[in-house]
Amino acid sequence: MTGLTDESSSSEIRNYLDVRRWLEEHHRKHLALLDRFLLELRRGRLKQVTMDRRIVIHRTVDFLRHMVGSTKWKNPAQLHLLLRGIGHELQTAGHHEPSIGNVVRRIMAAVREEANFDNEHTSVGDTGGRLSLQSMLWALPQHVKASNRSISVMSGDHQRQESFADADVVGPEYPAYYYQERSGLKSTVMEAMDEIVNELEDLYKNINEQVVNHIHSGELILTSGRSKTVELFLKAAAAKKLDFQVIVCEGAPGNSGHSMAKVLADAGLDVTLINDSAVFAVMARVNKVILPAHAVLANGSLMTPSGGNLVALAAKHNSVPVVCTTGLFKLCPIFPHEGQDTMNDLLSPSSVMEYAEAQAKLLEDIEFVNPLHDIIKPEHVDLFITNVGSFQPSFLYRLLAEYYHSDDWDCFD
Amino acid sequence: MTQQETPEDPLVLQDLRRFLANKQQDPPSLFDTSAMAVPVAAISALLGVVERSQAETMMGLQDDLKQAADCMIQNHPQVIAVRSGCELFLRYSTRTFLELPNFSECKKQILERGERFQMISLAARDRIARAAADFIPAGATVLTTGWSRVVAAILREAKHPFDLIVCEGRPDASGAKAAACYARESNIPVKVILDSAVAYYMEKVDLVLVGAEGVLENGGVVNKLGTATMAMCAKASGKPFYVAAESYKFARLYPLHQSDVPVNHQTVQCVDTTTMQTISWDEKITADNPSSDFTPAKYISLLFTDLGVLTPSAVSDELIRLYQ
Repeated sequence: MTGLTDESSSSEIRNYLDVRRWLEEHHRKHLALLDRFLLELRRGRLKQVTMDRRIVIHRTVDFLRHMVGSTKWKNPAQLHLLLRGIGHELQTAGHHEPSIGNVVRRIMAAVREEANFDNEHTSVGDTGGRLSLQSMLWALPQHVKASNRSISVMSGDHQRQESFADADVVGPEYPAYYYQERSGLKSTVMEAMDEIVNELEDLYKNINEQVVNHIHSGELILTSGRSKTVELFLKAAAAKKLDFQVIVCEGAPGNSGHSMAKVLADAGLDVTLINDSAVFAVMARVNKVILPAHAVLANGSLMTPSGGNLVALAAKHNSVPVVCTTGLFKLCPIFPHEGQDTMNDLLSPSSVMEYAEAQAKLLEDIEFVNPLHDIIKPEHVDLFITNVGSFQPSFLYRLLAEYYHSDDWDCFD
Repeated sequence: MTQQETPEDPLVLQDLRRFLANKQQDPPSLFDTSAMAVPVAAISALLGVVERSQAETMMGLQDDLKQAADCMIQNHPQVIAVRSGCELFLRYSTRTFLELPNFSECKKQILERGERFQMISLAARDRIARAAADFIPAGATVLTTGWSRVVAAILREAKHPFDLIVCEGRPDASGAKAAACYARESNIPVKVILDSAVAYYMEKVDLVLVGAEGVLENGGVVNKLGTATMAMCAKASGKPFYVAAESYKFARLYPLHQSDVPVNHQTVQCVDTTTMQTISWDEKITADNPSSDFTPAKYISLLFTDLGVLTPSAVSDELIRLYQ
């Protein structure tokens, strides 16, 4: 480390896109590890091993623990940039798993919290660097600071505007105290990671504890597709000696509902399997709909495997409550700006219609679309049952503020 | 009480009017950064009161401030906006005093921070514009009403081309003036429609975006007359209804009915615009023109504020955290 300090310009990460160079110069082994992990993510290997999506998060945290623990960053700003750079790469490679970005953001928030801790700016308004009415009234710097654009418009200095614009692309500047070394930083960040791991381990336990509030004897529960969380939730209800019926939608074209119905039936539950188009017909008799989550979005929208929106709309029409069981690691600080296309994927149409079959039926000119996810509007979801309690969609903004720092929301784009 | 001739009262009103002098700028401009928002002007006027106050104690200063605030609330047409500014400032001065029990120190601190506060409008609008611009998708049709600088900032920041429909905004034609301004200073395609054409056009609209005079504790907003109609139409058609407002417009008011919100009532003249003939009527008919209406929270999809993109229920949350 002492050998590097004199050439300070290259021994520091200049911006989050610079992380790869920094690793190559100082931590080749770590870079190799990063590449290997990225490859695994890209191939979707971690996804196929098991239904349990916590595995990917576990691996991500382990990887970050190694990176944070054994690389030579000097101050909160450097560590934050390092995490941001790694997060950017992981998120790009593992775009099918939005929770990877979430977990990196959470660790970044821990870095910020530690950096903010105990400095003069936060002691005044006591807002922990977050925006609130109080920090606004106190006219704290984060509120008064206009963006670079409006500053340069006011000053009319076009040269400066250019250079500011460049700086804006590579990331916001950190407050000065982010550049001070902090002795407790590493242990705090490690603690934050331990906390995430513990949370993951107790995830199902904490969700399933709430089962008696939501499922009662004699009820008819409808769910769609295969989900580990929903499966364990229903099994937990059965373990409480509740006598209820389950209807499973098959979830075409993947038909993951078939295996869901099987595991539930094997566990002794009273299960009926229906095809997706029968949802509306049975909905009138259903007491509650339980949906799995691919991701939970910032405005309270719920991303489910495709077919979920159909179920939610049918439930709405019949005034049947829709609840979603999910771990909060799926809570993404992203708004569905592109409507149903947000974070969606189109799969090969072969599961809808085999190529040979299409040819045989002379359907070559017809387009087959096979989207992977559905987005359900917040007004069509009544409750999110999470590992830290049950919340209405309108409350999620608060959890987002607690979990992630608002400046880190779109830091991987 | 406010008619008492204490030396502060006229001065504070003068200050308020002076700060707002630029606001009357007609026609409005997209690039206007000089005008002060009403709540910020109210707070700035109160800062003048603190500066001039002879009070020796916090209680004395609070009394002066309360009196000045009442005076402004009763004499300015935008009651909610003035009120939110005054309430926030009173709260702020109390909190500062709790922090710094030394009176002169506290007064100095209030004035010092107040200086910075005057810059807040611009920064807040900027922050809102950046957060909200993504909500306007490519090729969308946006419906708005009246003139709002926050809305203008968001539309200017939008990343993709879109169409704009503006309601005329009777009786002061503020929407039409805004449309003229958009047409003159940006290349956004604008269409002006009658206020009564909202339902007709709603099916062509992708989202509604309006500003606010005040945001109330239940998450509802007070804005230019016709906003509530728009919100209900949007809800009925399943279109998102967004409100953009700076957080200093948050007011501690919990209205249940339209009549619970203090707004100005004026009479209105009815003109047949096809013939430009003014309709005359006898005194059996009463005419009413409330300046603003109240849009309940249930019609609002999201609020764009400088504290972030919030659901309506978050407003009470923020207010409670400040006043707890």
